[in-house]
Amino acid sequence: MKKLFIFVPCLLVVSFSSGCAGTKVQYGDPQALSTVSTDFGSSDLQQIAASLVDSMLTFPPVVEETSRRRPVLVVDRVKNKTMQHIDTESITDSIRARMLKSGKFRFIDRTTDEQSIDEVRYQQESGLVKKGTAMRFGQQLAPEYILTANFSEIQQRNSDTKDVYYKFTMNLKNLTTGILEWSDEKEIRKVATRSTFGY
Amino acid sequence: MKKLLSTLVVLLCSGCWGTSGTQTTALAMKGPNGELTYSTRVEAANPRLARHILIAGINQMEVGGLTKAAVTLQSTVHDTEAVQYRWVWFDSHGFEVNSSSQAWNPLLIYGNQTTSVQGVAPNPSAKGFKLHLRYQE
Repeated sequence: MKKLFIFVPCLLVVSFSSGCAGTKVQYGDPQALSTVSTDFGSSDLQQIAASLVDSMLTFPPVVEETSRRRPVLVVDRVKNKTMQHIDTESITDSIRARMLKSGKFRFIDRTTDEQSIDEVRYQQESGLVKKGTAMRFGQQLAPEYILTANFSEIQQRNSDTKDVYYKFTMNLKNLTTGILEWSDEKEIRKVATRSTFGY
Repeated sequence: MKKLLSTLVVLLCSGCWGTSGTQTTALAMKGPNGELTYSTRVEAANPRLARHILIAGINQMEVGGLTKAAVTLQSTVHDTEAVQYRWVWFDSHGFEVNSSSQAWNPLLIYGNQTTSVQGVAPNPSAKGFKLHLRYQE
């Protein structure tokens, strides 16, 4: 009986604590606006990609150039001048994906060159691939244009407010002529106001 | 029907009262000379947003084979309204195009001012569009 008096309250404590202290996990909308902090977030990435691709696709000289054929582009690394560690490749990936989906451009992907070389070498040297069908080196198309980008940030703060201004600038350069064919920038301002427990 | 569908503009405004909201549907039809005429329909489940922000104009054109849409929003109040919007694109059969890649965008509309939002179709198959508008959460 005495053991029962100890066991029952212990059981109740364990059952209550396990029920109340659990972590709730649920799916969110990946397209929803994220306003968790002033740091660069998913919504900012989506806005930048949409805005710049829309601008490029409707720029008259680009419209004219892409009306006859699909130019070959290469994407350069983004110069990250912000104070944050940002996966800038993710931004250019989104931009490239949107541009590809438009059906107006083709891209050279430098990030998978190593795998491509390994595969071509395997096709030529393993002896397993039919001679006439093996890919050869030196057949890839050269890009005609290069997409370059700069990402900068200006932060201002006082005791109550933190103001962060982001500017993402993208340029399309013709590699033959050296002429900048298109350029645009997307600006984003995020403001956090201090609440009772800080930012 | 395809022409009608291709120029269908729906503005769905949902707000702080759950996912339902004001739905403004604007039908744009091409006339014999190619001019666009509009008729609008408003279903108000969120009367506040419908009162505060009016649809002042809808425009649509084709740029390089891609549909470009512009909707003009008119604030009827003195305060700044913080809303968000999202484009949804449809092909000529009424199927959503790239349904998973259209993100919500923030938009500040200053008191009694007119602002315009523009969107470009993700690919040439997109012919019709909706603009969803709601208050920021």
